[in-house]
Amino acid sequence: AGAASAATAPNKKPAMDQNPAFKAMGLPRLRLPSRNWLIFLSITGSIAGAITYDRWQTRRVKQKWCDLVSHLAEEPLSSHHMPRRLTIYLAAPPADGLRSAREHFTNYIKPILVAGGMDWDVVEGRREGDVRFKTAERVRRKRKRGGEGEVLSEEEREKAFVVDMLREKAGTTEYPGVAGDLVIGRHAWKEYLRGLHEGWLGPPDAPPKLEETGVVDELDSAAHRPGQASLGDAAVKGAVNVIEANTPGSAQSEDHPSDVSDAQKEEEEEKPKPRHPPPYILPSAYASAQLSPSTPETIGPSAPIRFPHILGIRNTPIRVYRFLNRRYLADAVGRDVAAAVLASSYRPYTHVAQKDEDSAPGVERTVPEQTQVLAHEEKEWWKTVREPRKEHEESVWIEEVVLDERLAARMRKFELSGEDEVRARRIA
Amino acid sequence: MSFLFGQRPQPTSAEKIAAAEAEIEMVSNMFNQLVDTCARKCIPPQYRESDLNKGESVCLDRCVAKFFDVNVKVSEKMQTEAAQRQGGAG
Repeated sequence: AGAASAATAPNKKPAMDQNPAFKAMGLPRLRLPSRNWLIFLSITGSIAGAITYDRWQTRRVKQKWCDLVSHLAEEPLSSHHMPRRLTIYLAAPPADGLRSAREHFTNYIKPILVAGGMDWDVVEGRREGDVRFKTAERVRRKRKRGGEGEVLSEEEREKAFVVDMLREKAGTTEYPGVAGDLVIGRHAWKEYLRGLHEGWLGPPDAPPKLEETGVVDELDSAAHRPGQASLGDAAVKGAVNVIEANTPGSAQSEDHPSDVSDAQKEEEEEKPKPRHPPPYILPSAYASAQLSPSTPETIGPSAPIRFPHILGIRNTPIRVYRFLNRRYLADAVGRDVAAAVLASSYRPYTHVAQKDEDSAPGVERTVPEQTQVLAHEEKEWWKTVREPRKEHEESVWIEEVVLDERLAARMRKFELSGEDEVRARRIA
Repeated sequence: MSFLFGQRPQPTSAEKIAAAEAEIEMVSNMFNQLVDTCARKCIPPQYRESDLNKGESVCLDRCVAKFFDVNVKVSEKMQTEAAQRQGGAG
């Protein structure tokens, strides 16, 4: 009312300058800023307000999940027990570096782990295939520790398992409870599954033929390498070259003449070598492989965690929207991590209907849940992911998930029990 | 460390004893400092119960790991500097 009267003031007598109500209250003559200032202030004000509100709400939401688990940090722990340890599988998303994954972890996941008094182990992956290899190595190490594989002498065992031996001697035992795996992102999830299968279904020791990597056949010098990473899957049709000839050959590779000329050796040194030894078993061989006798009844309950990651300048509106709505992401991630920390209940993976646009309407195939976990993230991957791979690179991300029934039936998923949900809603 | 350059005479037993004493002192110093620092940082001063709880245990693990990490890094740095100085002077 004050503004309206002020705007029409020049046409009226000066006596009508001030709103009589304001005058009675003793307020001075108030005026709005000019139109341009109003535009500027409303734009900056709304942006700043949106950001501030979102930040405040994310902090509150994170606090809610932290408070839900904080009672765990106050439980006593005897010095002879190690704290409960979660394994975090963190891989750099396609076409980006590890830093973005680490920031996601530090922002959303770490506060809840810290509030719950958890200890954790991070399995990091810089390139495609790192997490697969490290996961398989961990499983194989566990198997060897349990006594499978080649028998080592006492000293060798001491050297290989130094820390474990010391702990045994000191009498520290592992946490008497379930551990857990947190897998961040669909790419890490695929590598995790592949690594698990390789670890439990493959041989515990490196197959001997595979140790001769780098021996090049003189006749087929055009990139014919024995026992390289699995590239024979139908998904990678673009890689039409000689490599396809030796796909099933990683477990039974042919003997190659070991007389390599110097020129060949030089050529080979220039070509980049694959980062890790090739997988000890390929997905095509899962069905015929023997499951390790020391496989546990439940393969450590896992918690796949969303990792939204999108690149590209044309996706900027989407990224702005996500930036202003991080509270929902914090809530979802917090719920999953709290479920893993509380470990109150875990359920086996079931079969779900596959959301597939290609299949005819009304015809729904049910697939194992593990293949559909976080499937929506694949659409956001940068397009270079679908390019054919070079020789020394792995292609786990673009291949379909191949599951072995025996392992898939043993996997469990963390879930928040009903009471925890009720408590969480009460805290919020 | 001092046997790097040329033929030095073997340390006498007195020197060996002194070296051993210095080492014991260094180790016990480090231990005391470690216990002090980590207890101060990780254990809040309200002693409501005598057992360590999970949060504190985990914090102590990390504190000790960081302490040793820092120790190792600092001593490496000092060694390289000492070596440089010796290399530069000698």
